[in-house]
Amino acid sequence: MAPLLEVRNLETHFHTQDGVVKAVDGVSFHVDRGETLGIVGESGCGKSVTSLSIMRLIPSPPGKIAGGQILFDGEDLLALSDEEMRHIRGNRIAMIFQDPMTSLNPVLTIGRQITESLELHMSLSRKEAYNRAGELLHMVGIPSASKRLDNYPHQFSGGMRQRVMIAMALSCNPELLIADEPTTALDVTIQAQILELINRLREELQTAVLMITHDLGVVAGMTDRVTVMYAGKVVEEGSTREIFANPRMPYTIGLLRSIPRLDEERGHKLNPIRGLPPNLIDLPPICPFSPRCDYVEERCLTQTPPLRNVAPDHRAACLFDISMETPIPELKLEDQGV
Amino acid sequence: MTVSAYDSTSGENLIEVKDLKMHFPVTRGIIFQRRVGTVKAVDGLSFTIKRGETLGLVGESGCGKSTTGRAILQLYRPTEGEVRFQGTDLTAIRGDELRKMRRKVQMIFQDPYASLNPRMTVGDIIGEPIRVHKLREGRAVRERIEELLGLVGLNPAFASRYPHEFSGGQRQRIGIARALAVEPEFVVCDEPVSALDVSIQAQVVNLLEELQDKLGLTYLFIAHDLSVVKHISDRVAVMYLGKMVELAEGSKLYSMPLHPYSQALLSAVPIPDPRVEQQRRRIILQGDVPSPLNPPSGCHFHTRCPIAIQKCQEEEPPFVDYGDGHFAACWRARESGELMPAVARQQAEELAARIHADIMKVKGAAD
Repeated sequence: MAPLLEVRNLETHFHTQDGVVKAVDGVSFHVDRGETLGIVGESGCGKSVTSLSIMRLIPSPPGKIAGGQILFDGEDLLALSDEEMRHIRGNRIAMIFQDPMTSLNPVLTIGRQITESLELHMSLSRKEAYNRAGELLHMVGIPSASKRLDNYPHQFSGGMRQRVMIAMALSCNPELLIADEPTTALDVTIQAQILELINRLREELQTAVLMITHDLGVVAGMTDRVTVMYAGKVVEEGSTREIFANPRMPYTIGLLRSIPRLDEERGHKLNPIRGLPPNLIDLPPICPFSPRCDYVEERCLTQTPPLRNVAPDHRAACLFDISMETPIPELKLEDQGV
Repeated sequence: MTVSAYDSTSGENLIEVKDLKMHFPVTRGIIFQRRVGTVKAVDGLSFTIKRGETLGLVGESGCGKSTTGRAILQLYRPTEGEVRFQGTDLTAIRGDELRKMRRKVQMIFQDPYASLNPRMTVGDIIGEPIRVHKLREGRAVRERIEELLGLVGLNPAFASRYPHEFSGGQRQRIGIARALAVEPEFVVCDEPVSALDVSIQAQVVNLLEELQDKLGLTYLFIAHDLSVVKHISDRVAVMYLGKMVELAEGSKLYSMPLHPYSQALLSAVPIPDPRVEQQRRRIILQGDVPSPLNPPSGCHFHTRCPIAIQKCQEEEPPFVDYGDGHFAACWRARESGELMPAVARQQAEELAARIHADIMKVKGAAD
């Protein structure tokens, strides 16, 4: 069966005074029905721009989807008219954002904001939509839900606003839910509540989820497969178990080594990735991670390594067979004056 | 009763905090401001920090952890209580005397974008405290600035640049250099890595550890990220609504938390390993943190505590030692470890059943 969402060679560029920023540079991945795919990466790696591109919410200018295809249920979203896209956005694909305060309208009641899409997409009457909005709020765990419909966003706490966002997103039974850093702004106990809720709803409703986050812990607990992004490119992808047990891209290895773990023994030292992510303007055709890589060789500086199969259902964009066990060559560190 | 965590007998304490309270008035009206309430941001903390130690302070937004750090440094003057630094009560001194003490106690701020003056060069930012405290003069200031930049892993030539030319991690290094410029003994690190990307966080955490070894610093490390706090701290204190609920050696707190809130907090932290994650059972707390304007009676946590009993509503539990300096403020601390897993399982099942019923209802209405 064809995947629910298939992104092929997506390129999203931003035109700035300093040059063209290739925020997303030839990204491909797919999401099957009912599965959860995680996209991980640090600030500026293009993960949010990818999700906004799928929703066709890239501000233009300065942004522009310069190439590629986004096939949703076999249909290229980039070829649709704005009118056709509106029938898909919020209806068949829904999105929850990182900051629930700025993504809710402060001058409309919560009830009105939920009923708006119900009336639009599900053609419910105002009364029916209002009742259903109450049920949705109850479903996401908001106490005395029907009374809270007449409240404004500022009367809700951060966690409650995120629940409202989830209720809105799920109001039209979407086939795909895009969650862009849904818990980054929340405290850890509230994060646990929200992740648990997303997990339950996903199981019950069989919604496919595209989870975008920088938190490897969230990815480990929530996703079936992972796509790791760096400098606008996919650098590793595979099943979540495989990626965490046997990462093959030096960037992923570096990330896993650099984070402290709650269950680690004391005294172990963190191994940070040195340096900074590259500037995305005029990126030369080399491995984008090579300036920070411990295993860099001359060949890395002559080409952009393609994604290649390194194990069944596991691909990495590295020319060499590097794993967690590969010793770090000492000489190279000095060569680069680190 | 809370005095037990305050052990002033040992001579190696650098910081001794006793019954620290920081209350903020809430007023209404423009000209005639009526006091309509009090936010008890910090409400009776007692603890000590040994020389060379790192004490971690964790808790969620609004629990009073940053206020505690600021009240210790006298950036807020505490409402009540004592803060002794090398025996001197900082709350009792002011003016020149306080300024002299400030040299010994410094702070690293959370937001590396807001805490550096954009109109000053890096050299001026780091040099200002040196000049104010007259630690060096003339050319020696310049040399000291370059030495400090080298110490935090930046190129000494960066002294003539402006903050906007640097990334978040580099700015945080500048903030650290500024704090170290006055040769402090005690540094409050207020969420120093929260604004940074994961790969950069590790760089800054390692730098702070190296500097501690090199300069013999004592840290109060405030953060909401428990993994980072556990990594860097010798002892960890957990705060909830202005109170300290647990204080113990890092490894002990994580292996055997006594307070239900600590247990929930620890179980909520995701671990970057799918094999571990699939086995774990989270304790999901219900609801949000109550307002500090009107905190619950008795134990502040009883409104969200899955194992609260009548006594928790009525009486505030004392902060007592349960052995080897493992302090907790809970009436059921001895039995919480056994009770909580069962409660967690029951809650998870109830939640699943409730969501299932709701979804069926919503679906039925849609069809």
